[in-house]
Amino acid sequence: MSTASRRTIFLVLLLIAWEAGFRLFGWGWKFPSPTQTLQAFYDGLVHGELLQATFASMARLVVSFALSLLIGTTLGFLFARYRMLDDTLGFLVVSLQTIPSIAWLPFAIIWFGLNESSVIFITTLGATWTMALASRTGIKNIPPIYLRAAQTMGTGNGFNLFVQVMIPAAFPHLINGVRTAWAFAWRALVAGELIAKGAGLGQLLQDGRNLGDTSLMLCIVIIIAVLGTVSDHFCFKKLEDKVLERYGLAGSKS
Amino acid sequence: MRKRAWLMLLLLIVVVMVSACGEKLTPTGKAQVVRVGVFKNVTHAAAYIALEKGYFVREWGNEVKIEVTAFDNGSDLSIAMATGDIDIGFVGPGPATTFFLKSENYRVVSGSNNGGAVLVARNGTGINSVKDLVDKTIAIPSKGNTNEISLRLLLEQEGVGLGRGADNAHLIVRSPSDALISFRQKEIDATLVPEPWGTQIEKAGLGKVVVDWKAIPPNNGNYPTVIMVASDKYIARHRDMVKGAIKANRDGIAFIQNSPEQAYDLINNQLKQYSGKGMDIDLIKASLSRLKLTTDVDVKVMEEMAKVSIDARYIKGINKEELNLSKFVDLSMLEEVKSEK
Repeated sequence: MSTASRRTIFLVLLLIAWEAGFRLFGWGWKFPSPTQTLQAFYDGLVHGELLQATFASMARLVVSFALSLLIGTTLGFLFARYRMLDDTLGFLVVSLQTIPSIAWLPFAIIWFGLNESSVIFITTLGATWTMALASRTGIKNIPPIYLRAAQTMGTGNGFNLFVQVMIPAAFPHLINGVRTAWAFAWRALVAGELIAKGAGLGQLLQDGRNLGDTSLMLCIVIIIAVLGTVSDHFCFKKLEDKVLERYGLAGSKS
Repeated sequence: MRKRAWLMLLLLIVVVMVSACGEKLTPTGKAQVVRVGVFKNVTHAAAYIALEKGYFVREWGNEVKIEVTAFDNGSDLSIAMATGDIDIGFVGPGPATTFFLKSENYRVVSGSNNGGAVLVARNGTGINSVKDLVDKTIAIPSKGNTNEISLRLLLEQEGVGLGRGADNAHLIVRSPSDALISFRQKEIDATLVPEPWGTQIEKAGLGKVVVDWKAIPPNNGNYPTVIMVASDKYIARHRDMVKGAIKANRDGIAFIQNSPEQAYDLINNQLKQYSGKGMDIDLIKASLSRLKLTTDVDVKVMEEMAKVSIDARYIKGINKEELNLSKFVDLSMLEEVKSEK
């Protein structure tokens, strides 16, 4: 049996169990049935609020994600290059990583207000540290012989070495970092939108809670899961496969 | 190993089921614990007085333990009512109706106060009437709450649309305390809030009242803003205790009306307890002058309000013409209490 058909059967069984559970146990309004959820999807699409919220969240996510990749990779590079920074700031980043980024939201609200900037701030924060640590490990694990060879060939010690040798050499680690950062960014985003205000999936989830609209709430949870899976499958997984292929590691799957 | 895991699971289920059912009663057959839900707001003054003056204890007796939970907004309190975490609650009709139509497990048993909300505009926005709200951002405390319904009716009366375009008024959700901050940050232009927030914004010099409470629709300020709800289970098992609560609420109202000066301090005591800090007595005084304490509930007005929620698609799956809240409102106990006098 192929993976696809196995998954399809699983999903169909899940749907049946869901509907059966709804009917047998009488969850009522506490957990919607598949048809109610479908109806909410339809309503949300017709009136545009679901799409609007999804786009608003995605826009925010992309901005924060780009920012965190930029900052994270740079930080990671600096940590790997300069012992002094690694011992001081690097140590701090490890402890910062343990703080859930939502913990910064009260601060963010005071600094930026209850708006877009606060959510972008904590989303960026949520992904940056992971990215920094991943790129640090990636660069640290580059065999020194690569660097020496590159320097002999005249890349120097600065920017050229970084872009032409270090980034490609650290790619497998970086990709891993990117995937984790994406997941972390999602978490921070939804958590931030739940509390701070502005259009977005988190906010819509909050509205659903205020109105007791469980089918809308479930819709959003499903959208988040689908977006996460789809983006991972079509962007990062593809990218990773390509990288593995380029490094001659693709065959090792067997 | 696997067998043991199954046994553990079974045990867990049994424990949960056993602990879920079976209510503890006092020797006199009353519930041992009554879970009361209120807001952290002056509009709940009658409940505060009833608690502070011990009217509930007087009605229920000393052996009954009163557990008070203070909520920040009506949606949360209504969720607690709908899931059976609260026995008696003081809440706004907006969210109470929305959640009742889903869970149908609690009833309105008495009124507590009417009105008490004002429309405040930020200084420097040039808003002098409802018509000036076009292309302005107005905050409401939460989606589907009583104030939003009033705002929608108010805008409709004056022919102002609600939406994103430049010829519409824009709606944004901000809790009243955040609205104060948002006024400072010039993020919002106006807000329709329950007292004391209107007075507080005025006192902070941030804005002024544009529409006074007596002009807020529906019914010119004479619409329920705080009502008393009780769970079905509770009404069925402890009808007398619910009647006791209705009496306590009624006497709380009477106390405020008869000796307001004394009431302010008592209200402040309760506020301190729930929100951590007290309030300026002048603020409480000003707030209470902007609302009407009453045990009456106008079902017609509540239906009118629920229809606004249906139009806003906050209540789905119910036809506006078929809406009938007579099942939701059970004033028989209130009538009994009134005739006992």
